[in-house]
Amino acid sequence: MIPVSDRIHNLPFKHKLMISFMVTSIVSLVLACLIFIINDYLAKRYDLLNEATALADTLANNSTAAVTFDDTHAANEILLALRAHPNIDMAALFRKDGTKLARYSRNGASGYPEPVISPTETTFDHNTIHVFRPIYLEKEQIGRIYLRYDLTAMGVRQFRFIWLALFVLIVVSCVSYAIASRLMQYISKPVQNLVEVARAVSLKRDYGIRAESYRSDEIGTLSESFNAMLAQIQERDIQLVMYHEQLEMQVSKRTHELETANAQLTFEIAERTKAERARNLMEYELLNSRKLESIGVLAGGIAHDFNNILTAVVGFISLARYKTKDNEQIQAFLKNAENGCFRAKNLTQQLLTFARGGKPVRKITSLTTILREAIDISMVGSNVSCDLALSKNLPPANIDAGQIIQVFSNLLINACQAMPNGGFVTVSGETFRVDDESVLPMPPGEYIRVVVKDFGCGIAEEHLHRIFDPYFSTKPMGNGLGLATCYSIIKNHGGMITVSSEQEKGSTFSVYLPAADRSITTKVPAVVHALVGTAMQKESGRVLVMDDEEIVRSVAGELFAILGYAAAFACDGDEAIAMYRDARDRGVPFDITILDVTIPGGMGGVETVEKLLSYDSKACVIVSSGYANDLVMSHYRSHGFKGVLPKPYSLDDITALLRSL
Amino acid sequence: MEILKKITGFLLEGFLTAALLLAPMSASAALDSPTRAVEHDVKAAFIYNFTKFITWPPASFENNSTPFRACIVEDMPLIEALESLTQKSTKGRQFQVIRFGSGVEAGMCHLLFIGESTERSLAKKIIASVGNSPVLTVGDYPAFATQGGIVRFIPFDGRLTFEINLEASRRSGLEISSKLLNLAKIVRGQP
Repeated sequence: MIPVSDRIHNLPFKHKLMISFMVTSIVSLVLACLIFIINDYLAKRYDLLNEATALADTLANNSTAAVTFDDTHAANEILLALRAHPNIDMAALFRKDGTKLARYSRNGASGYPEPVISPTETTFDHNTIHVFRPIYLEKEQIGRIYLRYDLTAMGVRQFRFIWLALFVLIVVSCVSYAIASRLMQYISKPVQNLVEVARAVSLKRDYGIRAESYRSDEIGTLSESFNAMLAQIQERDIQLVMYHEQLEMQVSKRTHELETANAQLTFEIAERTKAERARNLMEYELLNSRKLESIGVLAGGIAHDFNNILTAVVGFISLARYKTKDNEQIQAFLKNAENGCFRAKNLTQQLLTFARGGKPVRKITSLTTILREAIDISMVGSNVSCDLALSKNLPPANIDAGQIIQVFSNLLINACQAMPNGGFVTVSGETFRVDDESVLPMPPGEYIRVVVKDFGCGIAEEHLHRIFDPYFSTKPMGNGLGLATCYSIIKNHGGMITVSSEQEKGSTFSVYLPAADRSITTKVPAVVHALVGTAMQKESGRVLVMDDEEIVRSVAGELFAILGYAAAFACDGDEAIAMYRDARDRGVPFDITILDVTIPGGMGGVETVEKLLSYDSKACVIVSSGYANDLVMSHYRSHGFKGVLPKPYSLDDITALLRSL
Repeated sequence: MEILKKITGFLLEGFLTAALLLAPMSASAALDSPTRAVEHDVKAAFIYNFTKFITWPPASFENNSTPFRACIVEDMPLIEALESLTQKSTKGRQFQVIRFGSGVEAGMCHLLFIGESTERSLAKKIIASVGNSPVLTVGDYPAFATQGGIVRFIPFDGRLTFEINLEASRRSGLEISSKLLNLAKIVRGQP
């Protein structure tokens, strides 16, 4: 059970107000009625008492004579006058000694007890007032009078009053309820309104709602205060929203700034990383270049000398072969020796190419042909198959075909050697664009990238950075020049070569070469080693051989002699020019002049040919050099040479040269 | 005699209460002859009490200290009975009892009692001498009222009652209280 006080507490305000009002009014009314009834009762009693006393006094006064003269008859007569007073049902007159003089009772009733004199003047008992009054005559008490006043009538009256009060109570309650419910609206309605508004506000969170406020009482003030509070909340909300928006704006701005900064940072880091890589690559390149350069200088010197020696060896072997045509066995030996010399020649050529950087004799060439040729050369007799995949629109490149074939041959041979149990190599070619963003240390532009990928044993990581070093080799029979030469060649072509490898999975070499304008493709001149047959036609004439090496001069003389040429020799350009003039002046000019390109400490072939031609424009000058890939050798005509004779040369080489003139 | 006895008995019985009421004044009288004394005591009490219900004109008193003079003709026992009341006062005046005789004028008395024992001629003469003076004449013989007396005692039914001659009282200029009149038998005496 909920306690009554709690139930009242939980009642709506309106009912509370009504209950308090009704309780107050009913209690007030009941109290008022009670007070009225009690007051009426007391007043009536007092009045009755006064009346009885007055009546008693009057009777006392009237009965003085009767009492004085002890006249019972007269006394009874006097008391009979009480018949006019219906409330007095008994009366008596007593003498001074307390004996009864006369007695009166209403309707002669005898049921009343005999009156007994009492010292008290008035006593009340149930529904009765007993009045005893003295009878005075000239200030002397001569007796007493007794009146018994019946209050039953008053009781009836009181009872009627109570009923009336109840009736009034009900009527007044109804009326006051009606009035109260009407008046209560003045209090409860604004409060209700306020409550509803408050509820609406808290429910909808809409601080734009306002309570009605049309009076200036407390509730009106409350409404106004409430409205003011709402207005403040609304204003604060707006401010909050504003602040929130500002904050969000700031946050997004900051976020944006941060993002920008972050992007900037990422960009910078990337840039830095790229720069770092580029720098590393460049450093590596530089180091490599220097390393190769120094090695090149050394190797170049050795190769040059060696080549000259080889020239003599080759020359004399070819002479020996010429002289011993009939002896099969000697021929075979000499052939083997010659072959060995060719291998040695190849080696020197490689060394020289590597050492001098081998300035390439470039032509606009399609790589497709080059690659096919390289594959053909490398894969012969191998158990490795090659998969060539070139993109259709592969542009041509301005390259020295021989050098490039050499590069790819080397790479492919390496690939095959990496897969001794067979397998396949993929060669793919595509265009590749290098722009400012590229990490590759190459000038921006279009490149051709050829990737040679094998699935062999791979290269150990510790070897990876050394594989392009000259004379570095992991192969038992390797000379350590293959990849160094590749590197050198590609570098001289303005390209680059990179490697990536994973052990037991394979290696990938990427070769970048600058692409050429595809419109100026020229047909690839087939590099043909037209070997001159043994059948030689003897000719006659004079030949001037300029070479700084004694052994070269001597073998050249012997070789030309066999071919019917009388040879003269010069050590340098000045001597050659002087001899040429001298011979021409004497009327026996040289038919052929063979000039060495490089004369240490003297005038070289290029300068000499210029002077010779300025003297005799029809001079037949042949350039000879150990640097087979020298620019002068590949562009001999632009210098005024009529032919080329790379060192070392055999009898066959000279025969072929003479035939081509 | 039988009747007399009866009357006396009644009187005795009735007077007993009056005697008790008037005990202080009847004490000595009662010792000598009780019956007579009681009768005289009652009468004396009546006489004394009459003064309280009757108003005399102020002119009948010389001044405020003038006593109330009750003159009794010949009846000595009554005088004796009244003597005991002389200590009392009525209406603020001393109650004085005077034996009516030579040298006493009826006009100076406020109350004049003429008993049965007085000769009728003398009584008549005395009443005549009172004339219209404010003197309350009291008697106890039957012709008293008719002779011009105002109040006459009548023993009735064992009690002492009295009659009042309104004509006589009006002539005398006395005001008799209605309360007293209520107790009295009213007679109209001859002028």
